[in-house]
Amino acid sequence: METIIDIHSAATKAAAGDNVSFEALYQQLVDRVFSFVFSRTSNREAALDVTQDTFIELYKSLSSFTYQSDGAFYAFVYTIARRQLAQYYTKSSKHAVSELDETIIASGELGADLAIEVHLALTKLDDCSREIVVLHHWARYTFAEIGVLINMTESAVRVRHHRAKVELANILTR
Amino acid sequence: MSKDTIDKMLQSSQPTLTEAERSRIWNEVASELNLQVETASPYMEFLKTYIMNPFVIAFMCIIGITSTAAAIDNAKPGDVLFLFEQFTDEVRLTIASTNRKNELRTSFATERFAELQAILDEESITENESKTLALASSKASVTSLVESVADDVTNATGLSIMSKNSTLSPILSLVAKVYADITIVTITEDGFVTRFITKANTQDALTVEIATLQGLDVATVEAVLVIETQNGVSRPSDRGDVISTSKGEARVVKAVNALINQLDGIDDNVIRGQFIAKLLHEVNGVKVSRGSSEVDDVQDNRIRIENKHVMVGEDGDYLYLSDDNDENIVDDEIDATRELRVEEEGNVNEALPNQSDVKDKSQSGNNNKNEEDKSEPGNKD
Repeated sequence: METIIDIHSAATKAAAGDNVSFEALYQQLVDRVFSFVFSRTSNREAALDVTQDTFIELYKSLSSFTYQSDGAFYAFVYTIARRQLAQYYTKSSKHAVSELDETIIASGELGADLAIEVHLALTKLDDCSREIVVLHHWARYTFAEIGVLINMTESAVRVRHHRAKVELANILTR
Repeated sequence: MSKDTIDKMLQSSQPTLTEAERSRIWNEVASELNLQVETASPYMEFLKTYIMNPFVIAFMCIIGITSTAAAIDNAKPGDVLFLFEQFTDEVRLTIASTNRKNELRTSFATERFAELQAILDEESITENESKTLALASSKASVTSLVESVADDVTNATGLSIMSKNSTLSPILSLVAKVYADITIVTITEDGFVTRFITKANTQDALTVEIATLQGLDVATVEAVLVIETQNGVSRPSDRGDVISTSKGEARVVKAVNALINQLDGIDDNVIRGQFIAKLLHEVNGVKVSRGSSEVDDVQDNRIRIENKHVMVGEDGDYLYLSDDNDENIVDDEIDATRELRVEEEGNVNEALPNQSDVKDKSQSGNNNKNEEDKSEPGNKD
């Protein structure tokens, strides 16, 4: 369950060794990180492992982080998650989603079959479009925050997002 | 496929963590990083040392025993811990001398009486709150419906049949009984009687509250409201005459039983009569339906209890227990129908006896219960 916390305060205290603040950061971010990681692995156990490694790495790296904005902090976490994904790909010799985990636990009331269809449709998007869709719809980032994360302007993110949704609709109605 | 549909599909297919997974990841992270989220103080660390172990254990035992004893002491009839309280009371009675037993029973009866009052308070007020909520809700819907119909008629005929500022009911009476603790407002509207409890106790405050709650204008309330000042605090029968939940009924019945059981053992009819008078003062008007075929026979002024039929003498100074035929005291009979009648109310103004009174009376040797038991039952009713 995501809780609303003061990212600046929590990140600063956690960097100083305050474990309670780090746990608050974890509770705030874990769902976002997991959603993103799962979209790149489509394997639940692997996604759990990568999420876990991301937070371990985050804790170790916090002392090197200087707070500038919430967006910058999210970008920091996102960069760590991508690095952990890269390591996962290297270890498992997988570069993309080749098969979907049968144990998708989705938040909505869609059946598992339809959820799998959506996941498969996402894999057919190009990497950038898929990332924007996942970050916006699953990890609940704003377009402005996504722009910071993937180094694009907000308007460019919006345009890519719109096109991605049109493409998704086409894929799902075929 | 519309954009909204895509949005919904994406949202619904969002992968989420279960609580167990969220905890599992955190535990793994904390373990890997050797995190201690709750840092113990140096003093607590000292308590963990080998030398301190016996003291810590002894301290924990004392705390545990004390808190358990306190919990048992605060238990009320119907609570699991109340069984322990009864057990400890019985143990104390068993080892006490004859004179001391009477004092103890009086003391226990006082406790049982306080517990009964607490239970009646909790259950009666809950019932009244639910009544008030139901009233407010139904009133609002009825008002809305009537106004809607009135508007329709006005639109169709051009005739205004109701002013929205007027009261809906032409027959309305409002009576507020102001007690020392609360005020009970009884509303009679077209023969439909409802009541609610409020802390307001002045005419102005009551007028505003009634007007707000009932959707009436202040002028109407001022014109109709009758305020009656009552002596003393309210009784359950004043506050609400029904305890509706089966749990509430069971608690009251158990509390009454627990008190009667203590009174049964007191060898002083004056003291017992005083307790019974106070008991009847509390339960008079409380209706209890036990969900059996016997319910239909229960009169408004009775409370049915499980194994006692209690009556108070005309002058309120004795009681006897009997079955339906008023012939014998039968403590072990299970199937007999017995009730606590409240039609003969004793002297409610007498205070409960204090310990010195009890001692004096128990030493006097008068008013022996057994003598009353032998002589009175056949003469009553």
